[in-house]
Amino acid sequence: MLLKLSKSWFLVSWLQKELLEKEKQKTVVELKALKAQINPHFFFNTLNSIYSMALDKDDRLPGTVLQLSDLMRYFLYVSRDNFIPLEKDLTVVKEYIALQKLRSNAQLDIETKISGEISDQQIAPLLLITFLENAFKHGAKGSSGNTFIKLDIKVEKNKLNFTLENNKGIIDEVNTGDHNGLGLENVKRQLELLYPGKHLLNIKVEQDRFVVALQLSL
Amino acid sequence: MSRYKCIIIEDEPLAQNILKKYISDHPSLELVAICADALEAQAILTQQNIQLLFLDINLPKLSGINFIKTLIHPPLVIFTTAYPEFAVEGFELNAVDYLLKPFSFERFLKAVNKVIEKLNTPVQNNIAFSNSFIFLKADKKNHKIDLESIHYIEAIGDYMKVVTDTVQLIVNETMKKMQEELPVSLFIRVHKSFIISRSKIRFIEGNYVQVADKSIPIGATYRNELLLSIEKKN
Repeated sequence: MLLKLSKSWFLVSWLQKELLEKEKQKTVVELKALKAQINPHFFFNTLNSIYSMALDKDDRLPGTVLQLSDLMRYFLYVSRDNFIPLEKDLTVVKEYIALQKLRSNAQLDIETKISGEISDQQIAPLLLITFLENAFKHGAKGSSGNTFIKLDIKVEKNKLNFTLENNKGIIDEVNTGDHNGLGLENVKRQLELLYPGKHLLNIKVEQDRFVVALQLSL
Repeated sequence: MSRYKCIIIEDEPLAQNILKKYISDHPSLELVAICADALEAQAILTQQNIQLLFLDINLPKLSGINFIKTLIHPPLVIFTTAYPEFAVEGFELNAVDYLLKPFSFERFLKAVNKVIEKLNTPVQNNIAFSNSFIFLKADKKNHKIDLESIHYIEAIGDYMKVVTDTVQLIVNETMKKMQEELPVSLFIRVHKSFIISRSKIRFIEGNYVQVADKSIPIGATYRNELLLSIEKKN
C-alpha cells in the first residue's frame, strides 16, 4: 500500500516535471519565433544612405559604417540571448536612432535622454528598439513636414522607466507580407513571456501624438 | 536635342542626393523638381508636362504604388525602392523599370535608356497620339485634332500642312514622322508629298484620288499599295 502510494507520487511528480519542461521548451521556441523578425528594409535603406555618402565622400561615412556593423552584430548574434547587458542594449538604441536620423529630413526633431545607473543591469534585447522602430515608422515617416521623437529612459535601482513620444503621422501602409518589422503585438507577447508580472505597458493615443510608457523590473 | 523632364519623389534626403547626381550626369534628362511626398508631385504634374517619374514606394501619406493608381495619364515611371516584393505589382502598373536600392549609375542608365526608347516610339516631340486624336503643335499652340476630321496632309518645304474639316494647320514635322504617328488603318501615303485619310476618299480617277474637295496626285511608287488596299476592302 505504502509502496503503491509512493510509486504514484513519483509518477505525478515526474509528469509535472515533464509538463514543466515541455512548457519551457514551448516558450523558448515561441520567443525564438518572435525574435526572428527585423525589418530588412531598414538595412537596405541604410546601405543606400551609405552609398550616397560614399558618392559625396562625406565625412560621416566611416562612423556610419561602424554604427551599422554594430547594429547588424546586435541583430544577428547578441539578440539571440534572452538577456543582455542593459548598457549594450542602450548603445544599440542610440546607434539605431543615429542611423534613422541620418536618413530623415531636417524637420525631424529627436530628443534622447538616458539617465541613472545603467551598468550591471540586464535586459531582454529587441524590446526597446521595437518601440523606436514603430515611432520612426508612424511618426517621422508619416509626414514630410515637422516631426518629433522624444525618448526618455531612467533607471532607478532595478526599475527601468521608458517613455517614448512621437507625432502622429499618416502612413499609407504598404503590404509587405512577413516583413512588417517586429510590431507591437509581438513585443507585448515577449514582455508577457520574459517579464511576467514585472512590467507595466501603457500606450496612449493622444490628439497629436503617440505615447508609450513602459516600466520594467530588471 | 530636347531633354526629358523628370521629377524625383523620395522622402529621404540622402536617397534624393543619389538620383539628383545621376540625373545631372545624364545629358537627356532635366530635373524639374524633388518632391518629398506624392501630393507635392501631383501639384507639379498638373502644371507641367513631365515625362518621367523616379518614384519611391514607401512614402509619407500616400505610397508610390497607390499614387500611380490615382493618375489617369501617368508619366513613365521608374520605381526606386528597398522593397523587392513590389516588383510584380510595379510592372503591372506599367512601370518601365524597378530599381532596388542601392543601385549603380550603370543600372540607372539601363533604366533611363528603356525610358528614352519608349518615349521615341511612337510618341514624340510635337505629336502625342492617343486613340482617336492627336496633338499637333502649330503657332505655339498644341491643337487637339480628331483623326476622323483630317482630310489629308501635304508636305510644303520643311513643314506639313494638315487639312481638316474645319482648319488648316502648318506643323513643323517631317513626312516620315507624320506617317509613323498616324495609324495605318486610317491613313495611307499616296505621293511623296501626300498622306490621305482612307475614309475621305471619294473616288480614284487615273493618277488622281479625290479626297473631299481636293484632287490629289498618286505617286507611281504608292499607286500599287493604294489600289491593293482598295481591293482588300472589296
